[in-house]
Amino acid sequence: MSRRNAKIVSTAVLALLVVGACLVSLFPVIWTFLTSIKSNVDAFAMPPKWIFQPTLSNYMNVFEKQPFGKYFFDSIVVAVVSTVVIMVVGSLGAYSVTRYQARGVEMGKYVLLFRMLPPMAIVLPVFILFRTYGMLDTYPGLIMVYTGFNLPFGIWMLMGFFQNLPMELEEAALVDGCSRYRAFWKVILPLASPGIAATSILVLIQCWNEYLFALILTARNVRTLPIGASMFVQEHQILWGELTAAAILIMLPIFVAGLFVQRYLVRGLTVGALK
Amino acid sequence: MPAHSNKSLQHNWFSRFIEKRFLFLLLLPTIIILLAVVVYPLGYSIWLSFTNATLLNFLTGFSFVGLRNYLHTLTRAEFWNSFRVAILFSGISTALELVFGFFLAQLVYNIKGAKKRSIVIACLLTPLMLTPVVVALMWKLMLDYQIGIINYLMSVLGLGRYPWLGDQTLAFWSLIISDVWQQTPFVFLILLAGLESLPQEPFEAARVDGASRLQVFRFLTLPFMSGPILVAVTFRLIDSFKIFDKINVLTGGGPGTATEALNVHMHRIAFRWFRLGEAASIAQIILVIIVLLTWLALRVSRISTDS
Repeated sequence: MSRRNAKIVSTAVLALLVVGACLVSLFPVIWTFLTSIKSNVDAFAMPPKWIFQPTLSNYMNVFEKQPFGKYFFDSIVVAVVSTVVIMVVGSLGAYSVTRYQARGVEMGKYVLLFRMLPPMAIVLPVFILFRTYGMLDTYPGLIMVYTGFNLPFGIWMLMGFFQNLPMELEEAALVDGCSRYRAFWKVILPLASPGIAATSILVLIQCWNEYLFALILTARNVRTLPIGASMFVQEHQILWGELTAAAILIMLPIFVAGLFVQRYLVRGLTVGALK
Repeated sequence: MPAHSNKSLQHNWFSRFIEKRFLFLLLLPTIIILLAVVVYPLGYSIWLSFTNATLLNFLTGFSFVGLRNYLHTLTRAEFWNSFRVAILFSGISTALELVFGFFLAQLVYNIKGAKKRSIVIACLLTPLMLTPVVVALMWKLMLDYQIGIINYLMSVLGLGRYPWLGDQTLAFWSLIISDVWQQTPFVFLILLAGLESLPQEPFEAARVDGASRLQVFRFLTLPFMSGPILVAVTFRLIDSFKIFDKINVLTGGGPGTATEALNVHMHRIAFRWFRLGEAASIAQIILVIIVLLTWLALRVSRISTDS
């Protein structure tokens, strides 16, 4: 009996710990959301109000008093265009790298090295070059940098998917008289498409979240969401209502995208096959 | 269709060229983009680090000064302060993330039931996906002295209120808290994958032999998990060393220079004081550290580039 009791207790403790951990993970998001639908009076109430009249005024303010719609537009343009270019170039590159690797040409580690490079190391020269050539605060400028900087990440992740496709597939196609181009286009790409989809979502999130390049390389014309949101922290006051509403708005697309890619996260974020 | 393309293949010089150099041609766009956006600016930056360029003399002319920027940087107390902050920040946050991540991985590994498990994993992964700037803003809200929920909860529990972001030590720990909150799931995810791929036999043998839980952990789990642990630790060390967005938004490097890690320091030299040459020298130092860490990661951990 006591053994059974001990088991019940340990199961209960386990369940409690799991629920606690989930709560810690989710609480900041929940709290931010609650603050975003409070009126300014309720938001500053001490002790905090758990029951209140919800309002959407913060969300309205974000779009009406601030050009948040424009920030959204800029973020989408920059992230989507960068992602498309990265995926096109990256699929070709990743396939090539994996096949070189299969022949014993060690290239993967250079991809990893590029993935690890600190943005801080190139933001200064890029700023100077952009300033010289009038590319500061333009869409092409920011897209170019996002593309170059996230390309190694995309390639690294795609490599994992291409490696899983057996070489025999394309070899069979080649024996059948396909050109290499057709073998790649008709055989490999369709098979790799789930991996390409997952990678593109992760790359999209990376571009969506980027802060440093956007901060340095853009100003009025192009302003992405992370910069827009951080501007609610002002010199003398913090606009908590607008700020939390903005935070929730930035998170929403990520939540939706995140649901699709969760099972690919290990590969995408660890950037390395675990052996 | 295949017969047709096969025929034209033999006669067409162009398609024969494509066929022969196929892999290289596929890689060419990548090489061009990386050369233009990453390698060229890096080279430019290295050259800049040997000059006395500032924003003022940039157009009128600046000159080569040899190693002066590096000597200047390496003899400044400010630089070493930011170096210390960066090292402490990556070291402490990585250590905490490892401990919590391992704990969570063990916890979730023991959950029976696939559905329950996937819900828990979804909850635990939430912070990882979020925009770092947004994470910093959320913690700024919760750690606020006046209206922050953390201070409220602490005062309810009789622990008193603290100026989280206004005190030098507490500001550093606030950063650690926000980073550990966001990045622990990363370590958790890798370690969980590691646990799931553990061989079962040794563990069953240990149970038959009556080994205690502690013994199993010490002599089986830890050694078997050393690979995933090293991967998680090296990636976290490198990525937390590169952190900028969270610090800039949460503390701005302050109060004073208490949380001014290397990246934030360089940002200030470059974009507040516009001492371009000097900032470039700091950038090269950051670069060298990252490259060394990456090299170490490739050597020590079993991150394999071929599967």
